[in-house]
Amino acid sequence: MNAYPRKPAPAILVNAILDPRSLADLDAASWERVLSCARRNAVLAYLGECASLAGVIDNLPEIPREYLLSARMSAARLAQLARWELDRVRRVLQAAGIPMMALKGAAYILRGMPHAATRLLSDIDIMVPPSHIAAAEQALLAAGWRATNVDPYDQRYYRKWSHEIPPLQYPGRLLAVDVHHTICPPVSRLRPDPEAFWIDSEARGDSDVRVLSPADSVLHAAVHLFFDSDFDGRFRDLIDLHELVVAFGADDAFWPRLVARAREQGLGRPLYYALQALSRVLGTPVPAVASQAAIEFRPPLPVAQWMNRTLANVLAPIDPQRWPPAHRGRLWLLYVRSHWLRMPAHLLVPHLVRKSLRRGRQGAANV
Amino acid sequence: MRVGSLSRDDAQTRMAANGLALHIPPITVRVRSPLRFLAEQMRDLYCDYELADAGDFADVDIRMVRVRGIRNFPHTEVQFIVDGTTPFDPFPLAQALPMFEWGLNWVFAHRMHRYLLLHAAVVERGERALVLPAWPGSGKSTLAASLSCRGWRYLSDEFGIIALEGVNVVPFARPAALKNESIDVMREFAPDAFIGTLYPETRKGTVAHFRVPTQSILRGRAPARVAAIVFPQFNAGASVSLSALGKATAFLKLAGNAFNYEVVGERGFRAVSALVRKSDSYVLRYGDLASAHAALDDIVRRTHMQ
Repeated sequence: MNAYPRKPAPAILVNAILDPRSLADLDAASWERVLSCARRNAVLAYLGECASLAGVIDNLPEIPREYLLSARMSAARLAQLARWELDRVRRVLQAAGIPMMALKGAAYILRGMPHAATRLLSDIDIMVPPSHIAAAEQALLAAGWRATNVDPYDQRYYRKWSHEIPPLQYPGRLLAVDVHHTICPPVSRLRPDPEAFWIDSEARGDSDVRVLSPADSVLHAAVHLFFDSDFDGRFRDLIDLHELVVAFGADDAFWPRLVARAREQGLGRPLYYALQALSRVLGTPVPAVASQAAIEFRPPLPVAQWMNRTLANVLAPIDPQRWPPAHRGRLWLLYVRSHWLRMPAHLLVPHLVRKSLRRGRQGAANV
Repeated sequence: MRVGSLSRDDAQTRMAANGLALHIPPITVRVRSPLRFLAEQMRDLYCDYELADAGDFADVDIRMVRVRGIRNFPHTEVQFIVDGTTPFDPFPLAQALPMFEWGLNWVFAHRMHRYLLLHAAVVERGERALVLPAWPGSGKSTLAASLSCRGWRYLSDEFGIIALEGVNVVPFARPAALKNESIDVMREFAPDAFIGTLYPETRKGTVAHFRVPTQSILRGRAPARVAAIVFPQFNAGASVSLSALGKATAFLKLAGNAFNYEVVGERGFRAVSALVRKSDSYVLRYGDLASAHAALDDIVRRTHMQ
């Protein structure tokens, strides 16, 4: 591209998501950059959905419109596969008498949320009670699913330190299945009571598959936002949170319940940061009663200010024009994880060293 | 203005600065790279394509950059960057152009769901297009390239781009990637054809690119009507034989071979149905290009008489 007199692509993207009518004003060069930026941040299908819900998609120029529609088609197909995979898993677990809950993308699909079919899923997440985790794994293996990762170190790592078992995949199918027994890694400081999630959960559809209550869904998304070891696509996760609080926030009882629940489950800190990030990056409306209440979960002020700035920076859309990319991932890894989650360093460091050495070997093998 | 009218230096400077933007209907592609040899090789292969202005909307913006991995110093490699991501492991530096070609195919197949994308070569003669789906060892690229040297119009050697609302096929005329033996076969068959740099030891063996004849590029935007679907099957030394293929079988083979059949869903089903219903399908077994050409000429003549 020639010059850059225009707004940076991430700003155009955020603006377009919040007000799809602004898409009508874009010139060709801005269109190109906003499409690229949306692809980079895995929200092109979502942008299409926003434009569609706002009733502007038919008025957009043909070429960008077709790309928005193409992206929606791809994502919708993944949602269809997810629904199907969830049903296959349900048949097995139900027959084995194992209670099952859909988490994240799969739960948004069951809830019929409009953004559910715009997510670029690579797996579905389910949760079973901790006491049933071994039985669930056995039942799925017996029914034909296979571990996708047979590396002994990874297997041990998952089983010892993680909140899920190693991913399972049915041969020939696109989506893997992540079976969780709680929503936070056991090594973190966060120790919510898994049983409480089950007690508050809601049944969906005609099956016995459950989903988290609205407040727990938001808390889980908040924890997830600061947890996943995949440092890419954080903006996409922030969009999930945004959609959740906007949808659930229509009910007045939601916000006080959310704050109370965070207190009960010891998940106040992630909630505080999540609400801060939402209002800083997306300007998501958060009622004063909630943001005031969440202040009780705030860390000491200098830490909070620094963290909020860092988070807003890391969670904003990545600009694909920048190459090599800024080391946001590293920032994320070093600061957010260690400062904030305090996964004990004596566990984290050897794990990361090992991971990076192995990535090196794989990289060399691929040449 | 066409790519070929740029001087070598101009092409290199453009590519290194704001990018070389080409109209490769149905899309516009911008390539940015400091690699001088890449600019030169692209200028040779794409010389007849229209240049786009730097500010034009590019459907795809690709950067090809030199990378030097710490792990395999001193080898230099090339990385393919699209939308700020690197979907592939780096290639040896010398293979920048094959990587660009493969990468562009990959990007195209992942984002053009306004069409049904068959994995096929497409050629046309006298307003009658033939879709030549890819079977392993079909020799579709060689067949399409060789036909384009004998008066056929070359639409694609990789994508049968079917407009979902009808039975028209849209051209995406890019250099044909010839592999291994077919490079010499083409050199012998069409000594005047331009075949670019030889790339030994790629993932697919030795690769060289056949430049699309000017006449085909000049008609680059015109869709064509599908007259027949011909599944080519090359067997060295075999004599030519053409057999009709039932519509149900043709449907399954065509749909099963498409890049995005499952993504486009019901519209894809309808497009393939329309395609096999309105055109005949054949299996063409051949052992040499001349007799394959004769058989394909015959098919086109037959559809003219219908």
